[in-house]
Amino acid sequence: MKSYLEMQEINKTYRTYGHIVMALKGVNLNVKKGTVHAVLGENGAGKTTLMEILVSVLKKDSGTIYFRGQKLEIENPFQAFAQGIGMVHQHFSLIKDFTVAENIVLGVEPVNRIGIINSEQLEKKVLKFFRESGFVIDPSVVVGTLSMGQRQKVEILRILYRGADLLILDEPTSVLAEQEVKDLFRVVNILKKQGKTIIFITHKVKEVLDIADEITVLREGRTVGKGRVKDFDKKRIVQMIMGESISLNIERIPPKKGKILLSVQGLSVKSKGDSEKVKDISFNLRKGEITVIAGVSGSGQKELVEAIFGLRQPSAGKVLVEGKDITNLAPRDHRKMGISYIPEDRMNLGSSLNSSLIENIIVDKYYKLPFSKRGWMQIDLLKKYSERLVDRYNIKIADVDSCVGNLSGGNIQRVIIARELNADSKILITQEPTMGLDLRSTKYVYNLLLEMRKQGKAILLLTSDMDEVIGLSDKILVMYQGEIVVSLDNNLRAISKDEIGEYMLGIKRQNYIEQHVSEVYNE
Amino acid sequence: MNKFISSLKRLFIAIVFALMLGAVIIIITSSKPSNAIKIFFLGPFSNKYFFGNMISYAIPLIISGLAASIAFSANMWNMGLEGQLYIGGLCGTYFACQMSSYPAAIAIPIALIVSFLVGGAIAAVSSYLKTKWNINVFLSSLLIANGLFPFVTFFLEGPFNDPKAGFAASPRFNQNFMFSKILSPSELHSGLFIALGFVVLFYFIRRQRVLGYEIKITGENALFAYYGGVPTGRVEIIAMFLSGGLAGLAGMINVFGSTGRMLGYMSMIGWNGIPIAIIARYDPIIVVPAALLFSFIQKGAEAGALFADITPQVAQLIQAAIFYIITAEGLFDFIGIWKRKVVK
Repeated sequence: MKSYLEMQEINKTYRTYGHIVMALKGVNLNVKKGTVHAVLGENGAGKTTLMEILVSVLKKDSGTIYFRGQKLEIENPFQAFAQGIGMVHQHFSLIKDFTVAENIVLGVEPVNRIGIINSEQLEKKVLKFFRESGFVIDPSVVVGTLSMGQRQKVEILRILYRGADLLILDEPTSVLAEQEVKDLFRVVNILKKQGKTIIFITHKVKEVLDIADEITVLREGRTVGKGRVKDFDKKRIVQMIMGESISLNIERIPPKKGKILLSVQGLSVKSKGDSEKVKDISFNLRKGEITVIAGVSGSGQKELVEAIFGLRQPSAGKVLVEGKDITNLAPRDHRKMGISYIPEDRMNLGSSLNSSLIENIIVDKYYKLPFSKRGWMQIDLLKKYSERLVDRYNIKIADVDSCVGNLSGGNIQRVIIARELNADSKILITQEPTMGLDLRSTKYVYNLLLEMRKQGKAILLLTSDMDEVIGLSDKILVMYQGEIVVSLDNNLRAISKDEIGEYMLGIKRQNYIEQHVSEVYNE
Repeated sequence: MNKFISSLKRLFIAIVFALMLGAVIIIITSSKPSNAIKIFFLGPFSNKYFFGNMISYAIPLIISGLAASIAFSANMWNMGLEGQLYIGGLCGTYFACQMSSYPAAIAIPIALIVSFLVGGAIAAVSSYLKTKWNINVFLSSLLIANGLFPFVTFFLEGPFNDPKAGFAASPRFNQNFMFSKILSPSELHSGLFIALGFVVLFYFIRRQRVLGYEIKITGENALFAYYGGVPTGRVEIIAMFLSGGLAGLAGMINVFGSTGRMLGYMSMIGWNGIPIAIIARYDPIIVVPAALLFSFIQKGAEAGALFADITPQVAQLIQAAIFYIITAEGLFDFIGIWKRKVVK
């Protein structure tokens, strides 16, 4: 059978600041019609680059592409659409203030003679299209109010509306909760039945086994394996991605019940619009324990941790460190009290992209001995210190004076981790520390967290990743719409993913409040 | 160090292009272009007098370039340099007049310190307003300084006017206070050493002092700096205070070095500090050649107006061209960063 899509010997190099980086080295990809084809690889393996070449967001250096048996020669993404190739990017491109219908027709708006869109007719038209395609979302709803899963559906519908026959989904599950992933897979299967072809980009092996028919594995810009999913097992796929075998099992020793280091009491946070993002949250962090706050993204986790760390003013409640009230102090004082914080937003909050690696590494300790003496920065020492951390955390950077903005996402995360874990803190707060990281880096972060737990630090982990919730936690709190809806002890009994998932999506809630809160205040 | 060399390279390229543009303008407008170009380019170097004047003109520009650099480094867009310079100069001159009977060794430092404190205090108000109510520094510094402008002019035309001058100017103070000339017959004065002293001082602050790091990191990402433990509010106030202080000082040094009294019109020294700082990419060392460049173009055009048929406005055209070229290059840089982010 002739391939539906064939990419042959694709090469691509990037030039940044005079460095030439080979992103793709003779990559081949064959996709059969009506299949789900997974493109697998670590961060920076070249998956997204390959797809962006296919839709002409990026130009290839050399190589040929055949689509439906013909040589594909296009200049820009619009022409790719015209050919029936559509891509859903990892970061959605929907306009939040527009309705679903308006987003669907964006760029191809049906207008009357004087250039006006009749929104009622538009919604009818879009709804008709939704019914035909088999997915129904209310077209009059404003996109900003939808969940991430629904937004993704809108993105998919948008490229279907434009007549896409080949759909490219770039890391589609990275923003979704467990239940939403199942829903996405249902959508993908329906599309397959309709005869569409789907390229599914991911670094999660489990998903591939669930959904894909065929796979192509990329490693460091080369094709290292391809074939039918049936012919591979999980271990083999992991090996191809990593180039070596890595165990994904997390090993833990039971915790020693330590003293309370951080206590959050009745914390509430209001957003600008006066809506309560965090509602009366109380919990304790103990020495040597990992407390996980689980929840789908946007449940108020960001507001909660920022209020704890002094980046946001709470509207009510207190934060205590070993009995000392730190509620309205600046982050500098929080750090002095022994708190470290790895934020979810690593590009704007966690690092300064236009600053050098040294400047990023020392921001929390530059004013302390021996990093500065009597107001003089100890330049040589800072350089040596940074180089040591670069070595220890395996950060890929040319030299410590170059900009952090040149690094890949995973390496920026390593810079942040290197800084926050070398602050001699007692308490670590971290939100989504492995988001977007590949297997190797993820495993690495888990080991660091467990190592800190062993050393008797108190760790607060906020995550939407079910494996982390189950695998790392001593105590699980689930946050839903700004509230804690359940508190579970992971060491007392086995907790299932489905159970946590139901709490995360607000399907279930425990009447835990009284017993839990009295526990927080009495100790 | 790479950044430093690349800044110099940019400066060089910008100069070449701008001077080529200048040559084109002269060729178009002059009746004897070859002579005019020769005078324009070589005039400032033709003798001690012109050369000294060129350096002399650059002295306050260096200081106001430093003033803009320190504020911009902290991402504080101090647009009030001209006003801070004007009022700082006025207050310093007033003290100098009051202390006419004191020895120069006391009067000069006091006048300089007064001009620094007054300019700094005015600039610091803007950063205080930002910390307190999140008021935009670009606007508040511009409005505050411009609002003070008529007051200074009022004093120079009224209570603090020298009636013999016949225009808006302060009385002359004890002329022993004037900085000594170092390359007679030119205007070049010993204020040059003060300016270079500040260049060295701010070089060390930027490269090796804790304050320099705090200013730089606050300017590059204030949210990150605050999260990391930098007291950003305090840093912003200090950066603005130093910026306004240097502007005031530039005004006073110009009085002690060249004018001998406060004159009631816009000197443009403060405004020119802004492009000089941007061309130098806020690097104190590169501020010196950037200020010399501005001064060279100014003096070249003046010589051309004297000895050939060039209009002095050519200077402003070429200065504007340099500024455009440098900032356009900055734009390409920006696009470069943006591209990198997309491909990760």
